[in-house]
Order: sequence, then C-alpha cells, then structure tokens
Amino acid sequence: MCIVVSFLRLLTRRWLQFAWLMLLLWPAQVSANLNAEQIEFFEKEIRPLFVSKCYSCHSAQLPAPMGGLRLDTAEGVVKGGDSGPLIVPGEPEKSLLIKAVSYKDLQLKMPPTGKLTDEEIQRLITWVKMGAPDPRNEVASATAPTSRIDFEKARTFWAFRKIQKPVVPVVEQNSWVSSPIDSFVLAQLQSKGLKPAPPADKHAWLRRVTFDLIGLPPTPREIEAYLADNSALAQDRVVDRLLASPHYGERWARHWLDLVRFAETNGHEFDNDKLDAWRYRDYVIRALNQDVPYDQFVKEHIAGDLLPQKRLSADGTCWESPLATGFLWFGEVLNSATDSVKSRADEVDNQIDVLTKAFLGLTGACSRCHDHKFDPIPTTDYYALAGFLHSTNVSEAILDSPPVANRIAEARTSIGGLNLRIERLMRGELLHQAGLVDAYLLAASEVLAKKPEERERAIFAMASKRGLAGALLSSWAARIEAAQKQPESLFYAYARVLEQIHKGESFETAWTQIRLETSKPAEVPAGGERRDVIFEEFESRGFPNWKAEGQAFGDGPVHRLPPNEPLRDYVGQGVANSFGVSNRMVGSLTSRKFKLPKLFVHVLMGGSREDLKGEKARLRFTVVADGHKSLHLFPKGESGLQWMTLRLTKEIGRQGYFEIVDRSTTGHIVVDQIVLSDSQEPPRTFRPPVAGIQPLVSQQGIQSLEELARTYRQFFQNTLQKNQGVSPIVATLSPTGRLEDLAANQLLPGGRSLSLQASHTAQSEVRKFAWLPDSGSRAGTSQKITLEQITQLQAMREQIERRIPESIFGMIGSDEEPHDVQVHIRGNHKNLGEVAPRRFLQVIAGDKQPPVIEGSGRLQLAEWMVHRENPLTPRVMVNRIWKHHFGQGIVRSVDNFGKTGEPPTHPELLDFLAQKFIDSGWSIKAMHRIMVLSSTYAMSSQADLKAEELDPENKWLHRMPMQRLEGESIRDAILAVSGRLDPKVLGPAIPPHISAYQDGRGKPESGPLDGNGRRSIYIQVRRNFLTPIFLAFDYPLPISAIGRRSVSTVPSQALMLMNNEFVVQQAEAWAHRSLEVETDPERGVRNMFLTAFGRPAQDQEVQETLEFLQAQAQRHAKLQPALSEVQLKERVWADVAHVLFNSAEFVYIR
Amino acid sequence: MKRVNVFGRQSSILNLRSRIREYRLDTNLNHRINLSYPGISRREMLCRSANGFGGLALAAMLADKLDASATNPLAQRPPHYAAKAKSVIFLFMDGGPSQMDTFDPKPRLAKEAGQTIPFETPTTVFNISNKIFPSPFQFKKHGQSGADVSDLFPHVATCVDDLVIIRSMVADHSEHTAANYFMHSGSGFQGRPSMGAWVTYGLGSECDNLPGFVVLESGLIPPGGLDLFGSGFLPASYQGTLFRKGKSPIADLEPREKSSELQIAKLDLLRRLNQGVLEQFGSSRELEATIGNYELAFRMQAEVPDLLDLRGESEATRKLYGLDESETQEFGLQCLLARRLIERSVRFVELLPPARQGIDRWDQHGALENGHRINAKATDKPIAALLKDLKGRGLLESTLVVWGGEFGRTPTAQFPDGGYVKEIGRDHDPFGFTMWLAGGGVKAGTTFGSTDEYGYFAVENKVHVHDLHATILHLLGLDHTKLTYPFSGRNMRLTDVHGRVVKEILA
Repeated sequence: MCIVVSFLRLLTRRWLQFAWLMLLLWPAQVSANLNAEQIEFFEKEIRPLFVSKCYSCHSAQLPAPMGGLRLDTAEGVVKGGDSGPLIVPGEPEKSLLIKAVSYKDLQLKMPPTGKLTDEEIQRLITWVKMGAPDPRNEVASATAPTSRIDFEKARTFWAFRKIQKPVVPVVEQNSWVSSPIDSFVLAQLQSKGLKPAPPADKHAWLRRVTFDLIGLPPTPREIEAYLADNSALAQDRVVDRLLASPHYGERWARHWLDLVRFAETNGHEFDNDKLDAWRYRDYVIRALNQDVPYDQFVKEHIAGDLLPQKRLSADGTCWESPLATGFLWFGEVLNSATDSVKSRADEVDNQIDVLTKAFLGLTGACSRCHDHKFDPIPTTDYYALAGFLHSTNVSEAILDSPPVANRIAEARTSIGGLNLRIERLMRGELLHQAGLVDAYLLAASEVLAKKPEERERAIFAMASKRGLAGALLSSWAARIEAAQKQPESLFYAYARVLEQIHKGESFETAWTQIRLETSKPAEVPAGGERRDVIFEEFESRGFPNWKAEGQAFGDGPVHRLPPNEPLRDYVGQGVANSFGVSNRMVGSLTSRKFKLPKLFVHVLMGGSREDLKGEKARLRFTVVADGHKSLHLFPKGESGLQWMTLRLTKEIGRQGYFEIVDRSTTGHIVVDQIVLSDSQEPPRTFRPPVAGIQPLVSQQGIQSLEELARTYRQFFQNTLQKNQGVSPIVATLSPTGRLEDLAANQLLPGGRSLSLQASHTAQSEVRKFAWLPDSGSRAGTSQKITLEQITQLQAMREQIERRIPESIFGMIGSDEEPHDVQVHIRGNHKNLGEVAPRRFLQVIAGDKQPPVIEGSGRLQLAEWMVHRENPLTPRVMVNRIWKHHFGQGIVRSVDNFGKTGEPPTHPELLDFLAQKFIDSGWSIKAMHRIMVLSSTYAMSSQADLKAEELDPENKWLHRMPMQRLEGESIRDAILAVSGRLDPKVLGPAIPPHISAYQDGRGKPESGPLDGNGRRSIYIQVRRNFLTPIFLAFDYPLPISAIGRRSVSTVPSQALMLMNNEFVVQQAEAWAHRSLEVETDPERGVRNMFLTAFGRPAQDQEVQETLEFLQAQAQRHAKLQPALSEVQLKERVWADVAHVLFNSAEFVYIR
Repeated sequence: MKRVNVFGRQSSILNLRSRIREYRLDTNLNHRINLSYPGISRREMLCRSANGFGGLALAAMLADKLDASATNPLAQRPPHYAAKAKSVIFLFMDGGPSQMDTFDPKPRLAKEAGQTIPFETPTTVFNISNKIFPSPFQFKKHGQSGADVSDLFPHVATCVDDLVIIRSMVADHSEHTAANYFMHSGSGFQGRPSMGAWVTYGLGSECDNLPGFVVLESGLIPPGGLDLFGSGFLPASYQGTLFRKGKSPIADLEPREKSSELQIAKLDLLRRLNQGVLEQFGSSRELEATIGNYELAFRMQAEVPDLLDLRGESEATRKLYGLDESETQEFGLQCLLARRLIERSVRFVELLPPARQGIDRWDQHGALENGHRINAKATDKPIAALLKDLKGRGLLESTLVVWGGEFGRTPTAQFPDGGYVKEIGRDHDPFGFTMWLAGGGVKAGTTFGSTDEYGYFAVENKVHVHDLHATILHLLGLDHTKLTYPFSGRNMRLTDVHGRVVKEILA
C-alpha cells in the first residue's frame, strides 16, 4: 500500500517536473520564431498597455507581485499566476487574461481600478488570437514553486530547540533560596547587580496566594489560622488546602477558557446558544481539580472522542474525554453565510488559530495565505492541519458511560417485554371493543345531532340505555366532530357524511360525495409534477442516512406503537419515533450533509408540546445550515401527525443537514416524512389512515349510516384478526390514543384511568371521563383478574422507567468524511493548489511522518502535540502557569513563541520547569507548588527606587508585581465579602444580567442581578452580551486564544464601582450582615477591613472611618429625617462597605 | 516620607498638588455651569473635590498632561503628518440604502424595467429574481457641482457642493453582520477594533471629560451588536461609548446617592483610605492610575448632563435640525448632539438611524419605496442641518462627515414572496454602492467613480472599504500602514494588508 502511494507520488512529481521544464522552454521557442509584424504589434499595442495598466501590481516593481503573476517578462505571461495559466494561445475565450479584463468573471475583474476600454480589450483579444507573441527576452527570476523555509536552520531558534536539562546555578546568599526557581532568579538578579525584595508580610502573602490559586479572598478564619501557624510548613499547609479546594478548578479553568475563546453563543446577528457549552467548562474545572496530567488533557482536546482509553467521570456515569473536543467550536458562527465553503474555511482558520496558539504558542493562522513571514510554518503545514479539522465536525452527542447505556438498554428490553404482555392481556378487550365500534359510532352521531349544551346529558342517558361506557361515548363524539376537519383521520369519511346529514342531506347524496372526495388518488403527491424530493420516509430498516445518538429512536423506524404511547389517530408505516418505550428516553437523529436544494421543507410530524423554543427546545426538528441551527419545527402536542413547513429563504443552496432531537424526559417527537419542495404547500397525499380506509369506502352497496358504521366495525375486527400483535390502527379505539387507557376506562368501575403518564391533552380528557358512570356490565371476574395483571405490569414498568438514568448531552467532535485538503492559494478557497497531506508541523515532526490512514487522523495529531520531540507544548504551558503567578511570563508573549514574540528572560529556568513538568507526570498542581512556595513568590511588591531604575519593567523579578484582579475576581470578591457567594461548584450556566444599556438583536432575557451569588465563571458567556463588569476590567473577547489579558484603567471602571446597581446592592448586603454579627462600631470597622483587604486595619483608618460614620449619619438624617435608627445605621454602614469596594486596595494584589 | 518616583521625574507628588489646584481652577473657570445635583454648581463641586478626594489622583492626571506619559492611553498623540480633519462624524445608514435610488441615477433601469438583467449576478442573501427594477424616485441635478440627488433628500441636495459623492464603493460581504463588521473594522469577523477605536488609539483624545469615541444610539443596534464599536484587541480605553437616548445616556453614570454631598463624603473617605495605602505600602503607577480614574469618572458625571442640556441652543438652531417636527425630531437631536460633542473635541462620533415603525432600518427587501421614504424623511433635514451648522461655526473644515451604509442594493427586484416580502424591494449589493464625505479636507462638490449602467458593479475608480478607511485615516493625519498594533504575532492595521488613500478626492 505504502509503496503504491509513494510510487504514485513520485510519478506525479516527475510529471510536474516535466511540465515545468516544458513551460520554461516554450517561450524561448516562440520568441525565436516571431516575425517583424508580430514584434511590432506587441511593442506598439500590448507592452504599453501592460506597463500603464498592469505593471503596478504584476511586475518586479513589487517584491511579491500580486496573485503571483508577472506581466513584465515573457516567462511570467506564459507561466501565469496563482490562478493558473493566463493565456491559451489562439483562443481568447479560453484565456484567463481576456476573461479578467472583460469583467465577465465575478471574482476576477482586472484591472481592479476600472475596466479597460473596449478598444484596449479588443487589442488584447487580437494579440491572444495571434498566439500571444512576446518578443521580450528578459529572464524571469525563477521563483521556487515550493516553500523556501530552511527547517534545519529554523530548528536552531530557541523555541524549537529540544528542552535542555539545565544545571541549577550555584548562588551566594543561598539562605534566601527555598526552591530551585530561586537559584535561577537570584543568579540573574545578582548578575544585573540587583537583589530580591524583602519578603511580603504574612497577610499580603496569604491574600496573594489565595486569590492566585482559588480566585477568592482569604476569610478572617483562614487568616487567623495561618497567623497562628508558626511551623516551617505553614505555607505548605495553606497551599495544600488551596489546591485541594474545589474553587481551585474554577479559578484556573477561567484562565484556560481565555485560551479557547470560550463562549456559549454563536454571536453574529442573532447570538443563538451553543448547546451544552457549559459541559466543557465543567470538564475543565473537574480536570484541573483532579490534576489530570496535562498531556492527557491536551490529547483529550484534540481527540478525546477517539482515544482508545477514554476517561469516565468520577461517578462513572458519563465519558469525560470527548467533552474536551468541544473547544474547537466556540468560535463565531455566521447565521447566513452566502458562501458555505468559505464560511467553513473561516471556521477552520479560527480553529487553527486557537489550536496553534493555545497549545504551541505559535501563530499558525498566519500561514493561511502565504508561508509564515517569520516562523517556519509553510502554507502546506497550515493546510495539513486544516485537513484534520475539515475531517471533523461538531455533534450533539450523548455521552452515557457503558454502564449507563447498558442500564438504559436493559430497561428498554424489560419494558418492551412488559408491553408485549400487556398487549396480549388486552387482546380480548380489544376484540370486544372492536365489536362495539358501530354501536359507539351510531350513538355518537345521535349525540352530535343535539345542541352542544345538551350533549352531556344525552351521553348519560344513551350510555346507560345502550350498555355503553359513558366515558368512551363522550370521547367518540368529540373525535367524530374533530374528524370533520381532519382528512387524514380514519373517521373522516364517517364524520363528513354525518355532517352532511345533519345539514339535511340524504345519506345517499352525502355518501356519494364523500366517496368521490376520498377515493380520488392523492391530488398532489410528493414528487411527481412538483418535482419534490422525498428526503426521507423512514421505511427502511435502521437509519441508513442518519446518525443516531441515544436510545430513544431505537435501531430504526417504528412500525407499531407501544401501548402506552399517547398518539391518537396515527396509523401508518414506519416513523422515526423518539418515544422508544418511554418519554424518559432521549436521543437524536442527524442526517447526512447535503446542499439544501429547495426553498421549502415539509415535515409530517407529531409529538408532545413543550414551551422552550429555538435551539434550546428539547423537542425539535432543526435545519442546520453552515453549522448554524437556523430553523426549527416543534411538535404541537396534538393527536396524530401533521405537515409542518419551513421556508429556507436564506438556507437554500447552503451546506446543511437536519436534526430530529428529543432531549426531553417528559415528551417525544415523531417524524414520518421529510419532503423538499419548490412549493409552499405541503404535498397533499392522502395519509395512511385514509389509505387504510380506502377498501372500505370503495365498497359498493352501503345504503345507510348504520351500514357505514358496521363497515367500520368490520374493518377494526378484520385488522385485529389479521394482526398477531396489536396494530397501531387499533390504538385509535382508545379515547386517549394510549391503547392501555381503553382497557382501564372500560374495565374499571367509574372509568378511573390507569394512565398515570398520559400526555397533557390525554390527561385532561381522562379527567373529564372520570366522573361519568360506567356501565359496569363488563366488570366480571375474569376481566378483574386481567385488569389486576395489567395494573401490576404497568406498575413494574413504571418502576423500571423511573430508574432510567439521565443521559448527558455534550458538544463534541466526531470524524466526518476524512480527507486531505488542497492548499488554498493566497487563502482563496476558489483557487486550489496542491494537496497537503494531513501531518504535524514539519519544523517539529520533520517531513517523513507516517501518513494518516484512519479516520480524521486527530489521534495522531494528539500524539504529536505531546510527543517528546515537541518542546513547545510543555514550555508553553509552564510559561502560562508562571505568567499567572508572577504577572509576566518568562516568555512575555505567552501566546507567541515565534520570532515576533519575546525571547525568554530566564531561558534556563523555562527549560528547568518544562522538564520538571514532564518529570512530574505533567502535573499542573506540582508546578503551582514549586512556584508559589518559592522565595521569589514570597517577595514583597514594594518598589525599591534603585532597583526600579535598573529594572523598570521588573524583567529580572527583583520584586513581585502589583496585580490587578480580573473583572470576574472583583465580582467574586464582592460576593465573598458581602456573604452572598454561593459556593456551589459546576452546573448549567446562569443567564447574565442584562441592563438597559445592553442592546441589540438576540437580546436575551435578563438573569438575576447578583447571578444568584454564583461565581463569575458560571455566568453564561453570551458573545453579543458580555457582562459589563467583566468587560470594563479587560475581559477578553472570545475571538482567539488570549493568554495575557490587557490591563487598562478607564473611567468606566470607576463609574462601575461607584454607581453600579450590583455593587451598591452587595454593599448593602455586606452592611446588613456586618451589623448582624457585630454591633460595636470599632470592632465592626476592623472586621470589615480584615474581610475586604485580608489585613488588620490601621488605627488611623479606623479613626477616619468612625468619624465618617458619624458625619455621614448626620447627612443622611438631614436629608431624610424620617429614617429610623436601624435604617440609618444600615445606610451608613452600606456607605462604608461601598467605599471599601472602591478602594484601590480591594482590586489589587500586593 | 519616602516616595517612589512613579512618573520618571524628580518631583514629589506633594509639590504637584498645589500646581494642580491652580490648573483645575483655571481650566474650569470659563465653563458654563450645569447642575447634576440640585443646589450645587459644577464648579463648586469640582473645587470641593479638588480640595478633597481628587487631590492625589490629580497628581497622576496632571503628570500625564505635562509629559504625556504612557500611563494615560487617551493622552493626545501627534499625527503622522499635518491633518486636515481633527474629528469624524460617521452617519452610519444601517441596513444599506440603495445607490440607484439616492445618488446614482440609472435611467437604463426605467427603459428595461422588468427585463432580465443581461449578465450573471452573484449570490445574494435571498434567492431573488434577476428582473430589473427601476427607481421609483425622481432625480435632479443640484448645486454648482450639478450633482444628482433623488427626491428622497431635498435638504441634503442643497449641500451637494460640500460633498464628495463616491459612487464606486466596494465591500466584501453580502450579509449584514459581516458587512457591518467590515465597514466598521476592516474585517468581516467579530472582535476587531472599530474605526473610532483606531482613530482614538492613533490620536488620543482632546477631551478630558468625555470618551474619545461616542456612538449615539437612537433605538436600533445594527446586526453585529455592540462589537461594532468595540476596541477588539486594542486596550479597552478606546472602545466606543454608547449614548442611549434619554436623560441618562451612559451606564452607571448617575450616582446612586441621594445627594452629591453624600457621594463626595464617601469619595473623601475613599481618598483618605487610598492615601493611607500608598503611604503604608508604597505607591505604584497602577495604584495611582486607578485612583486617578475616579477623578475623570467624577468629572464625566457632571459633563454629560451639561452636554445634554440644550437650553443654550437658539430657536433657529432647533428649527434647523427639525426638533419641532415629529418625523425629524429624533435624528435631529442626535445630529445636534453630534455637533455638541464635536465642539467638546470628541474625536469620533457615530450616529445610527432611528427605529421606525414597520420598517427594518434601510434594509428594504420589500416595500422599498415606502421604507426609503420614511428613512430619508427622518434623516435628510437633520443631516443637512448638521452640515450647515458645522459650516456656520467653522467646524466643518476640521470635521470629516461620512455618510453611508454597509452596502448598497441590487438593481434587480426582490418580489413579494408570500412571506417576508410584501411589496417589491431590493436585495444586498456590496459590489458597487454610494457613500459621501464632507468637510475635513475632501474635494467638495465632486462625484467620484461610477457603477455599470445598471448600477450593480462599480466599474470606474473603485473605492474599496479598505481604501475608504485609508483615506479617512489620511485626512486625520494618520498613515494607515503605520497605524499598527501588535496582536497575534503581527502588526495589525485597520486596513489589514490593503488600502489605498484615494488622493483623487482630497482637496
């Protein structure tokens, strides 16, 4: 196999070389044979035109001529540009040059500054007709067709060099050294004539390390404990406690989310939700808390769905590893791309950008249009990576662990068995009921002849007189009335005849008319003249064209309904039915991808009604166009199936697919047919119910209503006889559509229903029957036994149902049509070059990588990401950890380890840490320990004048930097201090609070002002409605990997803390809480200082605050004399709390 | 007292403090007084605060003033070369006004009405017909320059001799959101700095009390949301500040205290505590800047109500802007505010068209005639007023006014479809559309470039959006190839790697 491949490659290459040679030779031959006339024509007519109109872009005047095209040499003209040969000699209409200048091509219009005159175009046409004679013999400087990157040389750049095992330097003053880090730092400091700052005080250190590791302030109790611990291990104990805190994962997950441009909506025009994005956020929090080795973490991001050894969640219920792949899809999604291919290429570009920056610290996306200008990443490497991503798509998957999946499958089997037994037990009753069909139909017709207000009484009377069940008669009457408007109903014919008779027609006339109407073949069948495309009918075995997730839809279309599914008047062949054996089952069907060909899609569907709409709806049929879940249909909760239509105004012509989704544990969805059509009207085929009644209505000799009713009875009896099991058609005998309800209503005295889980509509109907007296005639002993048996089986089923575990949905990656992609010349997806086989960056993995042979190849990519030959992954990560602890990275450009980035300030230290990271089993927590337990970390942030002059940027770490809290930490700290913080970890996102100042399309409903006290990481990241307090404090836009946030100082920050509703609310909460625990003003002030700043208050501060309290109380009292003492107290203390929130110390870490 | 020299100069903060006080009083002396609190004047407030909470913070601010230190991102920066314009008003016509119905008459459309357009047309957002739809509006020539303007804009028509009408605009995107991002930031994606952010980054702000980049909202945020006015990867200081309609235009601007006295007392305690912290733990640039922030925030609290107080505007001015007519009132007020912001040296002001019942911005896929009339009626008179008012006050020379949408509209019809479209309209056309510029160094009274005879594609003197950006920056004295910011491993520009200054339209 491999030999064949390489042989073919060799052959191709040879051929290319040959062609190349020919091209080079060709013009020489031509020019040798030019006659004087040809030369004159070129020189007079063509050359001046080229010079004046084309050279400015297509000549040696530019270092890189546009489009790779040079018109200043004969060779250049022959060779053409990136879009291929320019001229087909003698054939103007086939020549790109003529196409371009005549502005006929939409993409290529040359010159772009304005069309040439007709005369000028004509000149060029003549020239091409002449065979494009070109006498110029200037030699074109040969441009190498392939990349000119010298990889050997590139590998000598510090970032690509193998990790060295540096020797820890020996330093004087080693009493200061408490970790190898300190030796590296101290050696540098000493070489620059600097010395480390003195240690920070204990309060400062504790506040620093607490915010640093868990993003929250230390509590007074924690401060007390640390101060009291005088042992040498005091700091170790604090660090251990913090690293074991579940809040550690929350804090560091937020850093990670910056790198994967985490967002929970698509942005663009309508800002739709990305479903389950929060599962990824929780994945990261859990992974960090569990200290999942970083190499594993990285591999899970690239190929978590493909790893041979996937991780399960701690409780064993769901897969963890695949969740990580969701990071690929946090980018912006266009809601109506006009060019599907381009929009996909843009998505992949964003994925490459994030992937290369986050894991490798490289700006890989720079190579989309040309070889990277600075780093050794040729365009072919970019498209090699693009191949992995083009072979991968996002899917809404169920992540049940094998035990959970097994439990669901077992439940399914058990319930299936129980259902069969129930059906068998009901058979006798069904036969009995079938025999009563005519009696009920006729009684119903009499009921309907009465005025609506008299019907109830009539039902009573008639039921007891004729030995019928009141409950059933009532439902028959309602159904016959409804059927008048339902041509798809089995009882349509009967209902319409009745309607006509009640209007005064004779039976004969009515029947003739209805027969004519219902026996006509389908008026406008799907397909045929309308040129409809029947996309799916669900008649085949299995779901060959669909990807099924979960177990709700089973193995394929359903042909018979379980006796407990509430869906009346559905009679048909195969349907996709998510009821499975219970409403509790969830799952989805995803169709193959195709280009949406028609303006309309009609779907024959039904199912339960639920309130949620849009992509968040738990029951939906969805059109996904270019990755955007753009249009939906929702079941209406009505009985039977109905056509529903979507207009694909913006979707037509785009790459799309369909989803049928059931994420509801209380409902289900049924789809029978999907038809793509040019027509707005759904196909008016007669649906199966009518088809089923066809033989019946075509019968000759029905003379009266009684005979018609009898015919119906026979129809049911025949159907029952023919079917060993219970035909779905028979379900129409039940008043609720649930077959079982028939038995229950009929057998139980008083018509009490067993339908404990009937749908909404069914339930209300059942309740209506409940008071009606039952005939009692069938409550004999044997029936009682049967009923008891059924009841028992139902109870068993219900028990099993209740134990069906909840399935977890996740947004994950999955392989799709694996293929290599071609280089997009100049990044243009319409201009394709050579195929770039999927592989890793050549600068790291060389050019002799084994080819991808299976699937998308992401598994191989994942291995390369953490391969021992790849020095970037560990270096980049330890540098990121360092950055968060020490304010700046050792490589300050944390996302860019390339030439345009900054070189490491402490290269040996970087490699020492990288090696240590690997040796520790890629343990992130081990890195935290080394770093925060160093003397370097324990330094004061106080500046020393002389040191500042020598090291103004603090490059050599002569002190710890002053660090401002991020917006999220500020909010978290406010909540923690005020006492409102809810320490709950993980869970679905909290909708963000939306103020009147946030506007735009897709504006969501506002969440609670205080986010229910949950930490900031749980506030939903709505791309178009980011939280203002975060934004004011430099929250990064979710567009690219951001390893280093900017720190700006803008008035909106001050305004926010001074005047924002949330801040004021929390100040009040804090004041209230303080007053509850401490009534003594001085002690109260001291407590507040300790809580807010993690240090005791100075006497002067206490003094000033107490004075303020008094004066401010007077001001309040003057302004509002009516305030009670308690109110006044709360006001002034809230003012103090508010001032402390605004203090510079509150938002800075010393 | 040991002091760290945070500003790189040998002067103590205490020394600065007295100088600041002089400076403050001096600069505020001539300001008209406006009250943000009843019973206390703005000046009084500032004086009090200068003695009170602001003292130390002002040190930082004044230091910035004196040496334009890098600590203040909004400090004024010199342009690359002599600028024609100091500020920009961008009249963004969200939705995409139609070129052949406004400034680019195409008589051929009337002759071939209903016929099939004789060339291949690109994919549009909707699946529309390729049948020619003539303009329902009448064109006339106006002014000395004889510029063509349709009867949609009788007032702007009287200003044509101040305009450069570009009929050959080209953009890259056929769909609103991407096109909006593109028009604003030179990229079709979310998250790039907006033009106003780039300009403020390049030149800083001359205005101490207001943001450098202001967006006046009038009820509609264009598709793409607030990111259209974002600072992207530039520091947050440069992002556009959205002014909503009404008394309280900026979030968190209004104090929640019941009186200024209460707030000032709190800020005074804050100052004492902050000062204590600086003394106790040493100063740092970051802390100083954060403390200084409160001064600017406090001044903004006072300045914005002053900006909105129109009591000083004459009756004639009000009439000019159409404040007395219900149809023009809304946008007239926005235009008047734009002038007032320019007077206060705000660098970049963007206006958005008002929401109108029953129509969706300028985006007339259906009922084009009615929709365009409503939009034109709402904006025509106020825009003309703005141009005349600026000119009358001598501000037009230094203010570049830019009018246009994210793209134009097709010469072909979008017919009623029983759904979205009820009457004939036009789809999106980014391949050739019209924008105009006025003031700030443009060659007034000219029409530049042209589209084909149907108005579908620009054919002559194409001006790509990147070129427009390059030209706007040029007029502000900025070289678009030099106005860069390092991000993602390269020096990013508003014009990406493109853009040509359209010299032909410069005065």
